[in-house]
Amino acid sequence: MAKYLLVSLCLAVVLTASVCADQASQIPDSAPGYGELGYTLPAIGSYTLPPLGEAANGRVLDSHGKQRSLYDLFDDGYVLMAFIYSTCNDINGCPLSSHVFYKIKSAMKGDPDLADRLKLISLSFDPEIDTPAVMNLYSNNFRYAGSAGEWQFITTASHQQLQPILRSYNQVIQREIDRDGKTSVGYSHVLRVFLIDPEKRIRNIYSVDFLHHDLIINDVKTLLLQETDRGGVLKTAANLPQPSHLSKPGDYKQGYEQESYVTRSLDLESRQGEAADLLGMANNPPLGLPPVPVPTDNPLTRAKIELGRKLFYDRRLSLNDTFSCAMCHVPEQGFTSNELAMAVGIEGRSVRRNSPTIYNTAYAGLLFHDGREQTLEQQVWGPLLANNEMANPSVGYVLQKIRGIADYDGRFEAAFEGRGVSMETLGMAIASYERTLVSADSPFDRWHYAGDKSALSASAQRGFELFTGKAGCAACHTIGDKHALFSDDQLHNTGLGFRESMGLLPETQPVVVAPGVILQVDRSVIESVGEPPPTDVGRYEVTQNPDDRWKYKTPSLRNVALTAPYMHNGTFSTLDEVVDFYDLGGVPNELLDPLIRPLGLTNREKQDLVAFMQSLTGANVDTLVADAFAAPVGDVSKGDPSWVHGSEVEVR
Amino acid sequence: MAISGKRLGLLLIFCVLSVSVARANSEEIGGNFRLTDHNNNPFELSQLQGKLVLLFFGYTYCPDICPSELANMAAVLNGLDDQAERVQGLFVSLDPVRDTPELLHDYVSYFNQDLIGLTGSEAEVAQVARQYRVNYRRHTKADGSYSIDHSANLYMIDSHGTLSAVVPYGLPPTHVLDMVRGLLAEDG
Amino acid sequence: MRLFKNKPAKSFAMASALALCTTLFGTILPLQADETCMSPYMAKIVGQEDFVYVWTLGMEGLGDGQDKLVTIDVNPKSSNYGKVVDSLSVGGRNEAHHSGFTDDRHYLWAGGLDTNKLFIFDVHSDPAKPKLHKVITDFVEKSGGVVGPHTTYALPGRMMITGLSNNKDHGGRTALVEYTNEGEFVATHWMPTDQNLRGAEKSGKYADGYNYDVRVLPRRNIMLTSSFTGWSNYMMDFGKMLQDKEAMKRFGNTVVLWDLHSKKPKKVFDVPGAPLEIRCAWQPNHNWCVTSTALTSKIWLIYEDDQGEWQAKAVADIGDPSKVPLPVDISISSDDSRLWVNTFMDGKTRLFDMSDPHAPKQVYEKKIGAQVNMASSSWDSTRIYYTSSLLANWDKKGDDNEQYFKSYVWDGGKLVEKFAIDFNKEKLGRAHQMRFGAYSLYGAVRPEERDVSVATLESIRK
Repeated sequence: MAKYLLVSLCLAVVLTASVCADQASQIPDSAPGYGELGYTLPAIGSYTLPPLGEAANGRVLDSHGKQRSLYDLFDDGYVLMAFIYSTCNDINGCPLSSHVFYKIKSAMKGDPDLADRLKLISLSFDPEIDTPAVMNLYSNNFRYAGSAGEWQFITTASHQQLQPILRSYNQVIQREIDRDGKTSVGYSHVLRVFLIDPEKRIRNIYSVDFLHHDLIINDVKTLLLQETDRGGVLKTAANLPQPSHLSKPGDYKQGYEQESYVTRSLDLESRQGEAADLLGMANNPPLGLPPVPVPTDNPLTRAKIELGRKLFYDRRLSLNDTFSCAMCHVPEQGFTSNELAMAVGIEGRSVRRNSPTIYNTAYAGLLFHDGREQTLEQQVWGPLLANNEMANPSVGYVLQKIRGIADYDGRFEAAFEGRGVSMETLGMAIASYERTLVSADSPFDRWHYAGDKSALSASAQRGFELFTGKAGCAACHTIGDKHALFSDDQLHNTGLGFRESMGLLPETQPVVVAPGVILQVDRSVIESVGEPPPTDVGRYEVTQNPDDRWKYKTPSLRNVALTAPYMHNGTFSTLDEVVDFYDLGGVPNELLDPLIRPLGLTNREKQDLVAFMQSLTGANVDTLVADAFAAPVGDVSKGDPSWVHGSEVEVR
Repeated sequence: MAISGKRLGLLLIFCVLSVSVARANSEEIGGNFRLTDHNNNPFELSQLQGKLVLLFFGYTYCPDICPSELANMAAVLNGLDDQAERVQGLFVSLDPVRDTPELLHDYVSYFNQDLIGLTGSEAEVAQVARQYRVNYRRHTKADGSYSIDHSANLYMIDSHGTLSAVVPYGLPPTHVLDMVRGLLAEDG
Repeated sequence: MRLFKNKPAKSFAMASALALCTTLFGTILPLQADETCMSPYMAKIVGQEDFVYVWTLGMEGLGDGQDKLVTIDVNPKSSNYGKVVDSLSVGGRNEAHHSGFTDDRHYLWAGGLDTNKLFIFDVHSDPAKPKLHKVITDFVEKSGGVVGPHTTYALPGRMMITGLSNNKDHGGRTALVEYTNEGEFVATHWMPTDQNLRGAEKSGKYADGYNYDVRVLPRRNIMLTSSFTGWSNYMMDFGKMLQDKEAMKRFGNTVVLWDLHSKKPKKVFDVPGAPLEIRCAWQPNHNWCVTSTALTSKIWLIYEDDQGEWQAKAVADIGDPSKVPLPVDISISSDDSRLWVNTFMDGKTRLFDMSDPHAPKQVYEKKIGAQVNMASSSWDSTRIYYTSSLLANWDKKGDDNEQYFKSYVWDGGKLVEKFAIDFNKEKLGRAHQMRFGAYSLYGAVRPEERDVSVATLESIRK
């Protein structure tokens, strides 16, 4: 006991020694609000305080016992309001708010603007004990000291009057209970102090760790500054650097395997674009492309293209609202996915092939890697209904859902002469948009079809000779006299599929775990966390003809520089790897296409081939990507079809 | 006469309070009380009429708040210089079981020789606490020792025995000093 | 009377609700200070936690196949001790992942990384039986395209939610999103990228714009965020991803230091290999936080140096990094002296001595199961709970796909198992993140003898 006393006295000595200083700051464990702020505050006006909801009104009693409304007391000023009770016995509770309020009130003495614009209100949540008379005893603190500024101590007439106020400020107060379960005189609540603006919006909420006079004054000054200087913050947004080349992943990872890798990430907020004349482009395709084949029953119109574009980017077109067409056919990633070898569908379900690009699919006679579909109008329904892609359970489900989304009201009817959404019109709309994504007028096109000798580098020109000659690429990636699609629209066995199906896998697999950090991971580890890879026998799955095993469609090479990774399974990250593969003659198997044979290319020849392929990027890709950026991305909003909407778990 | 009339009123309230604790809240806060001072003499608030009283509740085993508040009070008294004699500091123990008059004597005089420590029976102390709406509660520890949570306001009672202001914990001594000077000036 | 604390590092919501406790007991607890520092402003629990809420992923083909909040009675004095006392299905498989309390601890916000729904549970009306109070469906739309709500972290009167991805490319670039406790959108704070560092200093080679976890040190006015990967990766089959060269390039390599008050990024640190959970020290003189990198298996210290500048450095290896043990969850003790680190691949929990945070040393390890993910410790470090699931498509396959909740006691030298619940056998799903609940938080007394016994799983099924 004596020891306790001694400790107290020792403490007292310390306290007395510095008694002129702010004594509470000397108490260990006191909240930051009692002491100096331990850090430098952000500059006034350098940040924003977004509104946190409305500060509610309520019936209160002022310290003279007069009925008032809270709004009346707010008086269109800035208000700092704390909920307190006078019998509070925690120094880091109500006394903390009093201390901080006092500090602010003291600051008002030397700051008439602050004193004029900010009011302090302490509102009791204990109407039984804290009668107006009691609150008046607190007000009396300022009869003699600190007359600048206004600090009101208010209460309510009853718990009945108090409750709605507590509710609206989300102040849950409960009577404390003791060990035996009896209520005691104390209360439990989370200390919250509210900063309210003249428009009665809550602009900040402070709890114990955050309640400090310097910080609050900083916030008030920030609000005052921004009141006179509206838009100051918005201006900085307008100064954002503009993306120079739109057609690349926003999260550029080239060279990631090397330690020297540096990020060149783009800002998502700046991912903005402008609509392009898609119809005009499709009606008059760029140099190097033939006229766009358009089905007679689905002529291109602006209304259909725009509707299709909206649908293409609408994530609500999937079972769980997470997948649009564009999640796999990402515009800035060559309308494919640079980030995945093989696609991933809803709930992360494995898709066993690489997402093909949408560029120039208007010209494709065969769709999907195995060529199982013939028209874009029909193809659309494949991913929509595939269990491992957008996973809609039925055609009717998709149509019903679109009918339930308000932003499609009347859109189909307007685009299709009164016809609403149907299996047919939905396919026609999306196909119309896809059909306009024609891209050419590449350096190659200007060199080859427009006679611009300077359009193509010497290396790419040599690459062209190899492409059409020694390397034999053009046998499948065809180039015509007036235009080039770089595809024969046929299916071939290169041995790659054979190897995936029949080949033995090495015991370890190199895995890049960070830039420049490559680990050899045991196959057993990979297998322990992976489902067995699904089989893929290619065209055979469509025809059942054993001779069609591991045949895949020849993709167009237009924009091939933008559409990595390559092959039907995305196994090659770079065009160099692709050239190496063909140089070695693919993978031998009994069904290997006779066109595939070892090429004996020199390193320089390989480089020239790559340079040629890199010259196939269309001049309008940034225009098409910018147009895509301007398209609305459909995500669930209030009122859209969802079991939640309209149920009590939304309304509450 | 006016003073004794008031005292009578306070005594009346005292009686009401003692029989009707549950409704104490609706009664006026403050008022006269009787306890035992740190010299083991009977004490009554009313005997301080004519003086401005600074009243604080606590207990000697209190580790932080009470010493800091008493040090505050001492600083105020010291800051008053020649007016100090017009002000009396009181420290009411909320722990009468442990805080004997002797212990209180040593304790309060450490801070200021003129401070008066007060104690009494548990019921007497509880009654004063109730009058001033002091919230306190004992916490027993595993080893049988205990501490007391209590609210830590400073009460200012004018020379007529009327509670004229409550200073929340956390306001600096300079503020209290300003208030005391103001109240003294008002009192003439 | 003993102070109740949730696993401190896991629960900012708790830390915020009990902010005072943090301030006071940071120094006081080891000194056995008296209880005048107990605040009426914080929730108190006499004794220990009554419940652990397990945010559980539905497993296709198991039970009802949907995500659920599973309530387990963990109070040894209860007749239901060690039992599942409630299971609340929320509809769909949303990739249930993390959850956090509001600052008043009345509501538990639980995010779905896939469907971007936020499920808000009322845990105060009846702590034994949480209710689905509100569901936010338009998180992506409101936030301007943020996908994958992960950490739900309480700030005064509001929740700070980390995103993992976006609705444009399902990659890792994303933001922090602020909501009010009432469920109203407040603001989106985009992560700094090279194109727009938003005022931050790029201290090394990376500014990827990724995000994962968030923690704050209010007294230093800092906020830290870590970085994981985008939707395409966290949702895909783990084995498939390890073999996908492109996918493996899309992991975060950064920790971002923010000005907490202005919510503006200040500095981007290189922390390569997917730094995940962040835990900040509790002691008031400890100006540091730790994180662990999932792919490179290191403990990183983010600390304020003598000049007041914040720095990041790798301070220890976790297991043998070349074997990719995959450290996932970490848990710091309330006195900052120890750190539990779970490694998913080998199913082990490891204890590191953090008395010198610049040189942590492993002092203990134990295999918890074929796979292990989360660890949640009581404030006094005597009880620790483990769950099994990492991500639906990252969990082990076949027999190794053990799904469990396990309760241990740390006796000072070793972990002793008290009970375990098989989430496969009980047809519940994949057990993921844990939060603690107690009657005494809400001014209620634990029913010693219940008139009507709490529903057991058997009765739920009936």
